[in-house]
Amino acid sequence: MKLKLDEALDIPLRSVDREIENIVKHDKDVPRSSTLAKSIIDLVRSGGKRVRPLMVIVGSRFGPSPDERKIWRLAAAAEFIHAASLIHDDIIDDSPVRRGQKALHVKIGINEALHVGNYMSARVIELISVYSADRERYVYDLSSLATTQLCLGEYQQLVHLYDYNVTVEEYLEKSRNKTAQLMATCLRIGAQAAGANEETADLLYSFGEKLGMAFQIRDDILDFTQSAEKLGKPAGSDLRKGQVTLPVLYALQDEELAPSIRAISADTPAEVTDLVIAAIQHSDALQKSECLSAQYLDEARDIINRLSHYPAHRDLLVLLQYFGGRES
Amino acid sequence: MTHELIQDACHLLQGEISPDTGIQLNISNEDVLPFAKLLEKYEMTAVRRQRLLSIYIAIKLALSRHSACDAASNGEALTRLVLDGDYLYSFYVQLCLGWQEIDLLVHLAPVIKQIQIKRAGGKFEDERLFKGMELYLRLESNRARQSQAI
Repeated sequence: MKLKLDEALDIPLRSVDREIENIVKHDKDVPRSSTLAKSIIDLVRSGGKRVRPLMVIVGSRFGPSPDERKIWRLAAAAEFIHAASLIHDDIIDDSPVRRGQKALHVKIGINEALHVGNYMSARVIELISVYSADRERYVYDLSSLATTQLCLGEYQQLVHLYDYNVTVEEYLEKSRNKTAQLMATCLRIGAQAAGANEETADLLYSFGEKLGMAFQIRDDILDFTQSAEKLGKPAGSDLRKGQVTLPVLYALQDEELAPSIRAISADTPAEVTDLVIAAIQHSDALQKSECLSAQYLDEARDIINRLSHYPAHRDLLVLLQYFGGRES
Repeated sequence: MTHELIQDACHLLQGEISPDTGIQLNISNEDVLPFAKLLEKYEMTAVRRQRLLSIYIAIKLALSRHSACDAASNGEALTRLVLDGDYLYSFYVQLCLGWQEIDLLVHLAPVIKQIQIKRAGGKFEDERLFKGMELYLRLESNRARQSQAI
């Protein structure tokens, strides 16, 4: 049987989850019975792969002095920031479901959910000032976890809705901002918190960035290849919402297919879009996208080779295998 | 003079905000005037005064963008309000870090957290921001006076 990511990395997910829950449970300003506390605990308990905290912990294995307490708290903070962004993403995307449950804004209202997300981000800023031993560390950790880049990725996505003239480079920059940067940061802050040298920390950042890019491209491919049942939404839903992802950009290079793709707008009937999505599924666009994803994974593998003198390089192989063979 | 300070701070902040966001600083004078006047009572360089006011405006704008979300319809209007608030909450942190206002950042963290806790419970106590900034300036000034006395 295939091991789960946390098991393969030998990191007990239950301990990670406990640390995440403690962020709100140990906040004396938040009553345990409040909607705020309950909402966050429910969200944590609804599951998730905890990729980001796992990456912080893996990063710390490249340093000579892993201060476990500090590392685990940083790991939990990274997930807290990610969870806050998911709450806001669901509001923006008008997604009714998150991890098989009603999305938070559906449960408690848009305004309340928005502020739960804001609380989570503000709480991390407060905590990092306590966790970080020195001023330099505080500045570094906070600026690393700041989500301005993530927001910029969202803005870039917004202005390019139904924009079929977007370039592959612009798509890659948006993906870097939206997904890869936080994953790369997780590995690097873990490494630096454990006292790893700059070169190693930078290599880990670069590894995380390439992994993040491959992850995002795979995610965009899965939107076309997985069944509606597995996705929990109709196949091709990114394009239906106007998001021009890599498979679409490659499909646009097909002169026969391009006009029908360019004709899709917010007003296009679903049955027309269904036909275009089927045509993209049968074109070579998914294969080309897969190739670019594989290229990022190859580059990530090269970085592992440069770090092979660390026993923890095996954990990077686990991450590579996970992202490379990811199905869901 | 106060209006000039507000103009300078808005100009400074607008220049720092990424043009990709499309954020326009449509904040009313009365929202920032009390804090601008307060800043003028404290001894500091003109540049720092502008920076502190810029940070204050960024947070005020973040609060206002997110509080408008209820009234907004779905779609792009809502998306922009959510994103603008998110960006500005993150951006004020970067401004504090970039301008070496770390003590202010540490001081404001629990204040902004409290505002969010109250808002999540349906109560708006945004005046905590002004009070928090006021307390910070007072403490900083007291510390400066004490160290001079020593």
